[in-house]
Amino acid sequence: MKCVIDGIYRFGKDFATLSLAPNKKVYDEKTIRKGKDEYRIIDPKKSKLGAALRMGLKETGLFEGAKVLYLGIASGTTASHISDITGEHGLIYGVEFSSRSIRDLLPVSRVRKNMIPILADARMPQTFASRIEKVNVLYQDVAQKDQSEIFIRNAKAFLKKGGTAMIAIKARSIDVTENPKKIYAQEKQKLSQYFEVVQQVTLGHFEKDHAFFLCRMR
Amino acid sequence: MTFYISLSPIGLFAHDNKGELVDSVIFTDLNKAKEQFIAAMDKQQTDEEAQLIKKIEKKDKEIIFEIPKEGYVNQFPNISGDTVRQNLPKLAQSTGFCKNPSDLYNHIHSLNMGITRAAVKKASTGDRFLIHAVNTIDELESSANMLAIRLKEWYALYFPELIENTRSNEKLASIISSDAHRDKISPEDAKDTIGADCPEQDIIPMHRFATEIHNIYLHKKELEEYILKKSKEIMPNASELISPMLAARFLAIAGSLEKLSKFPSSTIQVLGAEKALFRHIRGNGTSPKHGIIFQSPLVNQASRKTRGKVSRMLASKLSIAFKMDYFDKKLKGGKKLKEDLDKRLQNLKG
Repeated sequence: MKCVIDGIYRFGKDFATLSLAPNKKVYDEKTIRKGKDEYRIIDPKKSKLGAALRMGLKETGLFEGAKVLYLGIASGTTASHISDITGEHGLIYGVEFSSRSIRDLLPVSRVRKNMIPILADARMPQTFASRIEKVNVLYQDVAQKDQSEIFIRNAKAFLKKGGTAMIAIKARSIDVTENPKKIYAQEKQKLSQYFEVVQQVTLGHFEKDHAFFLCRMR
Repeated sequence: MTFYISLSPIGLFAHDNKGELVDSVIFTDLNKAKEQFIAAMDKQQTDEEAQLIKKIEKKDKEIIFEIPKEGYVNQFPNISGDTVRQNLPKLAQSTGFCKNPSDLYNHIHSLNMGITRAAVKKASTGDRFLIHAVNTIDELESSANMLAIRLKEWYALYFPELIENTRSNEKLASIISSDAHRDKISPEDAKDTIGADCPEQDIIPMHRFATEIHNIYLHKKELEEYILKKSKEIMPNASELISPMLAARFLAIAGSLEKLSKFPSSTIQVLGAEKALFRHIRGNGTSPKHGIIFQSPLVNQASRKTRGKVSRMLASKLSIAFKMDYFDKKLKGGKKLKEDLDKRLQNLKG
């Protein structure tokens, strides 16, 4: 076991986070016990952050005490690991549009006090702006046609200067017929107007036709 | 000069255009803040907002809110919201709203939990129930048919003549479930059957199994009645144009009445034909003329040449009907739509 990135530990080829709520699984993730500590392995097939790490993501910008805005939090699979990393002094504002997914998220956020569920459309930041504050990290996984625009709009409104922003781009949501590589290039260009794109990885066989961008707010 | 007003979990703030704090109204305490915040999210002005406006109005300036508010201009993000969101923990302490950051974050957590829980409750509308019922019908149908295949094989050991003479699974299950003994079902066939003679203990489990299948078919019929009623209730106008069952199927594919109401008629026309549609978009094959809209007799009984046209006309009327159903069910436009459609169909024939 080795701590490779802030809050993320490596077990062989797997990546894991130190559980904030031991003995309480969020999804059916594998866990490893080390004395009192419980490490939760990030399943790369279920979490795009996990997949990006496996595909060579070098940093996440997450740290203990960080404030995070998570757009498209769904039922909190990836977010639970981010919640492990930011710890009890950190905070995740999780925005999700599907009431079905939020229903699964509510019990998780009852246990993990640093996860804040918000049922809203990420396209309209004005509807939830009053309920949140500025953040250090923006994470987005929404699979919408205008996902880059949503990302930029929210980053402008909520991301602190120099903050980190991560986005999972699903090529098939933007145009099913276009070559994914072409879409990545085009989206990267959009992002470059506002961010410094630090790293780009494709998610390989974990998530078909997905790319993951790590950006820094200018 | 302009003053900007923003709402936050701890209270209302007014800033000038340089981002300097002009004035604020802090919510009373941790207990009351929730109520006061939720009220302020609404378009109507609250007491706290009136209080803040009164305080700064003496200085006689234009006021811009961050969220929509009746009688005022709004702009998002505005400089006040920006400043507050940047310094929320500091502000919470300096304004005396709470002593330490953990109180603030517990407050934000419970505030959002409350709002989200209420929103989830509100989101489970009648159309969701209908969608599950439609999907359940399909699942009942396919499981009943699957079990019926097993029943056929099993019962054929004892009385193959019945299986040969009964085409419908539903009927078969009904016959065997009422009495599984072959001499009771058909004494004539039973006389020189090629089925094995077997003791009562072999017949009982077959009878039990057939009853189970028969019940599934009964259940399916009950559900169909429920869907018919519910669909007419939720989509009265669309139900004038197509059968309530088909309207419910449209709903199930779209996912919600809201989504369905926002589809253009071209999407409605090919809903259910996604495979053909995307094949067409990729550049192989012709565009589909109809999706599940084909199930309407208007379309499937039209001549091959006019089917595309009929399906387009019906889809365009349907899109109007779905919009009426979503935005105002009291609108009784379905009949008029049907008349218009019939007229156009007449022209098409003539």
